[in-house]
Amino acid sequence: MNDAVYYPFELHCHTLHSDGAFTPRELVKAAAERGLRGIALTDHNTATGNAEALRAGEEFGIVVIPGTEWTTFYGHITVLGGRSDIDWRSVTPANAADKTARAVALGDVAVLAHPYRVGYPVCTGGRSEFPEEIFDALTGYEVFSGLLSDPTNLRAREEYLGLTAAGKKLSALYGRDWHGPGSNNGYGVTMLGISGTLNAENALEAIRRGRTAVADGCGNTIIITPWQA
Amino acid sequence: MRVFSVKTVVTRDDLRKHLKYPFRLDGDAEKLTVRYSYSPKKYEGADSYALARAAFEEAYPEGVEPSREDIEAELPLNNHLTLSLEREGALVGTAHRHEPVAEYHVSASDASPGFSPTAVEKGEWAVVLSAHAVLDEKLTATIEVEAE
Repeated sequence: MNDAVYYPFELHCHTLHSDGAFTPRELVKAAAERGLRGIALTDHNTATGNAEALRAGEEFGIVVIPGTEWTTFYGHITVLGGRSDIDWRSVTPANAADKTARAVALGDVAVLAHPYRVGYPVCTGGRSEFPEEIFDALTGYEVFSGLLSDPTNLRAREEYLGLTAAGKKLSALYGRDWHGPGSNNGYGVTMLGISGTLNAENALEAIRRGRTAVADGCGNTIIITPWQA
Repeated sequence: MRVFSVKTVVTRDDLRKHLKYPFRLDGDAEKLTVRYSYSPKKYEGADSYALARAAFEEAYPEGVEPSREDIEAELPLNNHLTLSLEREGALVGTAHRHEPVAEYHVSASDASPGFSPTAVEKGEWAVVLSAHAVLDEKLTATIEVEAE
């Protein structure tokens, strides 16, 4: 029986610990004011903002999932949970699947970020160059990234539907790639189907179990993970 | 006291490389300060628009034409080197930011955002420049490290 209750999360956020404009506390405050029930902090190649974000989560009453974004030359992977400590510089196309599997084995959730974003030289690693083996190691896939209307999301959606039709157990996720204050118009959320207490571990478990959907800012569902474990 | 400085050149051949600049601390210190810079930041080449357009076309779905406005919004293109700090081969932290001139510090009790507080003990250290974008033929980069 699925007793999950679905809550809106933003799973791809940056602060001034990398190239964001928010402090971690400002980010969490903005998320709470937006009505989100949780965020994942995914600063580029560092986890040093997580402690402040976790404190702010308690202050503002929302869930904070500690994390980071491996911002490699070849693609970006958000790693949620704060359990693994893999040096981002060691991740290459040749070993990305193994490194991702290692992070997942340690209890983290690994998500391919903006798989078809405009890449080099506009955004280095923005478009994934990781080989297909990565899809056996990942937990989730950003089917939509940034503005929902971005044309590159069409390619991500098409790839995601093909992968899941082929049996890959990837959760459908959204990532705003939130870098600072500004209008919320045009962005989405990830709905996480949480069983039990609303907390970080149960949020991660929702992703592992495919209890996810992507919704627009009005709450209209855009895509649902087509499998559940 | 300055313990390390280098002026170096980063070329297009260094793209997607992690360029390591090792140095040794001969004694313990309270605080390590690292300053770095690189230039130019903005790429002014005549092929900027064509390079950006090609990147858009690779990412866009078939039959969807990127608009000139969207492409021009990404100009000028930028060179991008990020800085990491290592102690005894272990990562102390990374500053993934876009400013081409910056200063960071670490000590046992405190560190700049992106870096973990780390005791500044004698031994092998290294600054690492990661070449995320090198559009010009060569960039000039400087690194200075002070221990106090």
